[in-house]
Amino acid sequence: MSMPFKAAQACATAALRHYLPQREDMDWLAEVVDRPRFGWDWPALEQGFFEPMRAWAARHDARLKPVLAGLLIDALGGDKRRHPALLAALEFSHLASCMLDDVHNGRDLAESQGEQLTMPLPVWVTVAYNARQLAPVLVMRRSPELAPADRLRLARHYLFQQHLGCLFDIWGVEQGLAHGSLLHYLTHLSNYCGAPGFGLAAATAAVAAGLDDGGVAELRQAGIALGVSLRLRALAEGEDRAILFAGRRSVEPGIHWRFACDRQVLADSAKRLDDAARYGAERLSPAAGAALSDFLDALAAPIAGDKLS
Amino acid sequence: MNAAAQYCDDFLADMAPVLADQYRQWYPWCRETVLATIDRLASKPFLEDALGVPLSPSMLQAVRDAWLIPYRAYHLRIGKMLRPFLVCSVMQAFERDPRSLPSVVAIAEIIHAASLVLDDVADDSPLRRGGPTAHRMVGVCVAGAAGSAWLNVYLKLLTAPDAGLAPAQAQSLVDQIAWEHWVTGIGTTIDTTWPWIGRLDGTPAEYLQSVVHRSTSYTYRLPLKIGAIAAGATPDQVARFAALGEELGIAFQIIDDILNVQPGDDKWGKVLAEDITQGKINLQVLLALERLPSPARDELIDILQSRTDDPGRLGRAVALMQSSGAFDAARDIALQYVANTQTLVAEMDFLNPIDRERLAAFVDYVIHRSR
Repeated sequence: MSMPFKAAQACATAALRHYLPQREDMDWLAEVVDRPRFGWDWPALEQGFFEPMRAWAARHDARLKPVLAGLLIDALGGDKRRHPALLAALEFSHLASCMLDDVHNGRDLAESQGEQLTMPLPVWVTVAYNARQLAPVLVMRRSPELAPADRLRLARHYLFQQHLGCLFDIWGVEQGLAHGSLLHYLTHLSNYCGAPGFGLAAATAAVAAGLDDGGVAELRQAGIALGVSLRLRALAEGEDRAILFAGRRSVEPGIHWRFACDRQVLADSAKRLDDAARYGAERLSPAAGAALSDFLDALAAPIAGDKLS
Repeated sequence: MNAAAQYCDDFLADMAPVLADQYRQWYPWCRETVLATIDRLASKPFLEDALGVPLSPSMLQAVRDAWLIPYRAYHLRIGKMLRPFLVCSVMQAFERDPRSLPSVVAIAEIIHAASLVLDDVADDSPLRRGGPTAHRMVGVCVAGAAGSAWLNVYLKLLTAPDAGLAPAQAQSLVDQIAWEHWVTGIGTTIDTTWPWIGRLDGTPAEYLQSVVHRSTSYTYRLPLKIGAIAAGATPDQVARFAALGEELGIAFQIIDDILNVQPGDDKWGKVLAEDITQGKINLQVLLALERLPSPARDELIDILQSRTDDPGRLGRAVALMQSSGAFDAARDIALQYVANTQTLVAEMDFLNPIDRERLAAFVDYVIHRSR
């Protein structure tokens, strides 16, 4: 792993900690949520949100989306350290997606409560909801370094696509719907399972660097292509709930609605998408292309062990 | 008379004439606009533009069967359309024609119905407006993802070039809606965590704090803000509407909690006393626990923690709360917030008298409604 990669990882973790209080902090509540009118019940919020969120963030510490954003921000002439809220927003959104992955799609709560969950399903789902809905707030309210119009340009890419992609994945497999072609499968993956998050990371960098709408769209597309390629590479290795990087498995939402095809076909598609992502970034800036290559190189490090992150 | 109009007339029974006239004027258009907007959002062109990719036939089938149909069913069951009506009402008070911003009017109801889908999942409610809830139709995960997508479709709808909003208005609306969604989750955390950890010593103040950041949001504060921002109101005016919504939302939630266990009539579309079955710790419960002598208090706690749906035991819990005077005390507290709303309305001197009267009548309706 390169030094810039490690530095971006440390920066992302610091940003996340800033927006996830580590102990009772009424000032944080007043600032990020709202001033108390009657009185916040911190112990309930600690047990029902902050503590499980901290534990989840500690277990899943790869921070791949904000790392990509940080590398691209720096490559495009910005400074990732000036955008902690944007980096934290990316990670909250990613962590929330993974939190919901252990829930079963039963017709009632009892059928849907997974054995892995240590708290009632409504509480767990609310933790994920909070993490997810905090993300656009961080973009809209905690990013003073961006002009209001830029905050809006970025916020519009949050949440909707990710939720719809999740719905496609569960419903598609449950109903036995057919993808029809590899292209349709790639379309599904571009809306789900991490790819929108990598697209958001790239769009975040583009907006932070002040690129125009066309540049934002192009870099976001490169990020999505990268995200799909990473999942295809993992699928080719038999992993449907992770991205493989530097000898580790970084957990992503499981891909349930799959397309039956040869592993080599998946690997070939991944390669093409890698190239498309690199090409898209390089067209905007050679430095961005290099940053994306650095990111890919870090992920391509030899895989060993079975550590889950 | 069709079903929509029938319900409308039924609903008018609780409204003052000055409010009913306005409600009658806007209800059909609101209903039509909300349904048309939902259908547009679920259309192939909108989704392909929003997602940036062509959708496969299977994905379009999933959109229809899992995203549109269960959600649209909530709207077909005839809601009151209070949120879009409020948006229209506020815009009209500023001499703005709501018909010029149909997406903005519709989003208030779209968000509300999405929150109902998520609430139903969290509460595992089998019924909503007399029909099956979304998760009973398509499952918990699918309903959760569908509800969340509807909840956040505003990010696409209000930033679209055809939304008809000035850039500053779009920024302000997205900012406010994003914040309301976030703080609603924090309020809900308290609501879901208290029964889980068996927290029975929460205070009425802590409960009211959760209310400020829960139902208050979608019910009144958000639609009033949406209407004011869409109308081009000043930041101070928007803040006053937000304050009005907050006071009204608190009063509404207290009354709603009471109606959950003591419905005013037989047209209530929910399962009776499901709050007790779910062990909800709300204001009336906290007040009852403060007031009941030890054996009765223990009995109430036992029922709340048993998750029972036995009508006899639910009735006993209601009787215990009634005997403690908790319902009357809760109503008295609600009335304090109603009084605050009337003061806020009276101070809205930038509105003409008829609009202030309508707002006051709306507040009166909320507190005296039976369903």
